[in-house]
Amino acid sequence: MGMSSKKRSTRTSGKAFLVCGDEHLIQEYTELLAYSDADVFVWHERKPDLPNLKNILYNRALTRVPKKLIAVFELTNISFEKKLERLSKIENHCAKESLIISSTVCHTATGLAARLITPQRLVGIAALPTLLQNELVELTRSPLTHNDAIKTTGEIFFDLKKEVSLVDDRVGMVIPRIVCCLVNEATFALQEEVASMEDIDTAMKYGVNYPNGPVEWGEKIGFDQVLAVMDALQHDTGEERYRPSPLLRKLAAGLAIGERIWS
Amino acid sequence: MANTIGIVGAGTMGSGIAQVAALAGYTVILYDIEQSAIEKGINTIYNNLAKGVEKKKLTEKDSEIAREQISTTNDLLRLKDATTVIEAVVERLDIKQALLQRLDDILPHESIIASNTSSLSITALGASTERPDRVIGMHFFNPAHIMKLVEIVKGKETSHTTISRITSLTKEFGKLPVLASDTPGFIVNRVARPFYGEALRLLGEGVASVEEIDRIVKKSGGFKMGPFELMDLIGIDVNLSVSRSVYEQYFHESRYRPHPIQQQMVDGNLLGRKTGKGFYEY
Repeated sequence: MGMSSKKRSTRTSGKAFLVCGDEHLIQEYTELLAYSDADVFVWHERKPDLPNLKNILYNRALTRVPKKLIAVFELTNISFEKKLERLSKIENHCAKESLIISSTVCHTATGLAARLITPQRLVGIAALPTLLQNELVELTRSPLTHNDAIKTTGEIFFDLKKEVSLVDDRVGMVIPRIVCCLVNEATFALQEEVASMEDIDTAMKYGVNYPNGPVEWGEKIGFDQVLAVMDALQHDTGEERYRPSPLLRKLAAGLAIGERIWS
Repeated sequence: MANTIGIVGAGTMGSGIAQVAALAGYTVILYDIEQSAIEKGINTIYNNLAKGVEKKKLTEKDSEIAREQISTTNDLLRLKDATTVIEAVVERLDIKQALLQRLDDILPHESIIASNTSSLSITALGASTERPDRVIGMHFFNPAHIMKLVEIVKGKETSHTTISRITSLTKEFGKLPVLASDTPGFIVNRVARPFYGEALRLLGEGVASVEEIDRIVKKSGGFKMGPFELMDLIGIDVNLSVSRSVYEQYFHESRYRPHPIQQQMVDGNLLGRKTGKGFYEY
């Protein structure tokens, strides 16, 4: 998606999105949405690193954010408490016709819907760092989600040159579950000294053509995000199969994103 | 004979490795007990070399030299001067152990015995010889003449010298070595388990269809192939047997547990591309 020559609108466009949640996801979604002709309001406790574009508008509180929005992207995976707090503030502030597209990587849409006053406008999305680099996003819904909400969400992504796929409402959805389990398995192998992290990454890229080595993928996603997905899968299924490796917990505690902290 | 490499087993992997060694300038003796297997193996090598020339990956001269470097035999004693023997016989511990015992008797003291096993313990193979320090895993990926990766597997008794000699040899073959400890599935066959296992569970739980999971994995995950396409290509029976082997060797660790869908596909002879039908029809 070329950006330089695109006409960039200002606050007068009348169309606006709101983005909030985990910082790394705020950055990715804001950057993508900013290339549409809408204003992107970013709501977060502290200002994240964001591209210097006129249509990106940072806010510490919701007060100056318009009530009528095309959609709110609520992208919290790590803290359920914060997620509920944000969702509740969004519901109170935003007009009923504003869609709420919320990350359902660690919590089901059905579970979230049960906590909302207006669950018909809730659409679930597989929001995990790095996934927006690719051409498809996974969506899901609760039984209360309005069909129009799904349809509009599909159109929003179509305009952003992304395909969508609607999957059943399950913790981890499809690609976050597969990728996080691969990262977790690699950290078990690393912990057991099966090989060095460089060799594990090389082996998976050249032995089975993976797009990223699983350790470097974990770093790019953020080990804290991977841990949140594994904890959620284990909690949801009650299966030992999804237990995070002790090393993954340590890596997550380091909150390293994009840098090597373990060797 | 300082640069002679013996290859035992002229099947897909053995002939591929023979080709790689010959192209790297080594004198190669390709052994198989069956004359027909040798002929088939040599045929495969010649065809692959011709394809290499056609695709301009090799010169006619490279191909000719490589062909001259390879001789064949069905007498194991002919390997007696090899500095390294790489075995690629059937994946059964008793057969490989018996072979290693014979090689141990035949080969010079300092020669290394490397095994292309993908699932057996290098430590167990080493224990069948008097030279466990010179027994090592050298796991090539299929097709061996194309895939860059080689997992070098150190058994409990494998020496540092053996590891460094085989690492150098792998590089001379133009391959990319990674070092793995002798644990079930080594690196690739272990770390890749969730790719198949979770896809099967997602299917079993009705989260999405075969086609939709493959589409998401490729278009949202950036993978070249979806898990179901890949299982069809590998062979659902082969994939199940790798899963089962890792699962059993880890004493039923739940992360590696195979899925009933795999067993059902195998029971129905729906093995993938090779039977014309697996998760997809061909």
